[in-house]
Amino acid sequence: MSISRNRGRLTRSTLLLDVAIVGLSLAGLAALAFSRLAADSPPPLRVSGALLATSPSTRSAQSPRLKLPLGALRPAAWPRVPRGAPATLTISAIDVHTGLVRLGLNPDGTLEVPADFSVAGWYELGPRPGEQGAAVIVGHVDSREGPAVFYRLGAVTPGAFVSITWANGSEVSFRVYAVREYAKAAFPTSLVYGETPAPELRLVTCGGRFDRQTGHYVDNVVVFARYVGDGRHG
Amino acid sequence: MRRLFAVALLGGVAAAAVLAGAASAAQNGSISVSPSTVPAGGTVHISGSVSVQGCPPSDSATVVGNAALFPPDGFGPSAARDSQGDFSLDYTVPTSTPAGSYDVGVRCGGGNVGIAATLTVSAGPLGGPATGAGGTAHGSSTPWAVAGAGCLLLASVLVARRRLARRP
Repeated sequence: MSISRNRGRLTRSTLLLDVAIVGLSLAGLAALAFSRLAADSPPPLRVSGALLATSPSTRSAQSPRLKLPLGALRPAAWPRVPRGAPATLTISAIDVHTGLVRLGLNPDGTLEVPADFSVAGWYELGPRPGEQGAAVIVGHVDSREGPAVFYRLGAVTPGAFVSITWANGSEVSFRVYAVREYAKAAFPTSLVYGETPAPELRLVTCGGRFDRQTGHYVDNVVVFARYVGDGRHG
Repeated sequence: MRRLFAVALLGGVAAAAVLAGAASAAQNGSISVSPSTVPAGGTVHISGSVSVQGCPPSDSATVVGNAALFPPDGFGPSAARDSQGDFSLDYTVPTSTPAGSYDVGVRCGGGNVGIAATLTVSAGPLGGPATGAGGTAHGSSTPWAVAGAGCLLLASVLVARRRLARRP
């Protein structure tokens, strides 16, 4: 009698232990799985390509396979860029097709960003895409809710084509030659916005770690592209 | 005694010279540009003062500098001066202005006042653009990993206790 009561108490306490063991094991595995998930899903980024500060002649000599029309380096052969703002941007490699808004400066001298997370914007105080110099287009990597227009920008690789159209149907194309990530604190302003011998394009979004204190990403992803011709390529 | 007097006299002369220098600088006026660094296309606030002794307050102040900053001739906008000789104006740097450092001076009553502030024009907007709100940025994975490991450790402790409890 006393033995069986003892055994019953034992059974009850071991049952409680079993429940606790199973519960803790499941919770532990779930937390570990979540930690893997949290670590594994930042926006994609593949830093690639070369930023060659070469003269136009050495550049065409170095990369003869680049389908760059020789005349593309002469102003006469550059596109006749319409006066208005560019209207759309297409990057087929990452399934981006978006309208473009116009961006100026914030009062503190930083670049405005699109109010709409689903569209990109062209920096209208700089060159138009296809004009000599670096035309700059920026878009958000994400909103508070999820991926935005340039979520996959960091996955673009050299050789990908970028096309810009105007409302009148004009179109110019660029070819990506490098993808880089820079700390915002050390943003290479001259490299991104500075003068270039031929028409170039820069696509910019955010990257790196998201700082919850400031509410901003700490890095920027920059895609460098060079003019390849009028009309659609690729 | 004489030497002491000479030293005092020298000191007095030096102090007077310093005071005179300060007075002449103050007499000319002052100028400042804010912010001191701006991209081409950005707007700066230029303010300052031109002494009413040197230039009557009825005369306006005109900012001057390099023709790249103030095209086509290096003359910028003018602003009226108050009875103290103070002036202020906003100026938008042309998008055509190359990056670099520029002196911003001021003219009043047909002459240069002889003072200048430095304005730096950057190649593009300052810093990197704020192009994300963090919706796809997951927090640090460390707390979750620590919590998970803690739970599993506790579970194994309970397994050990259960083994002990099962013993007669």
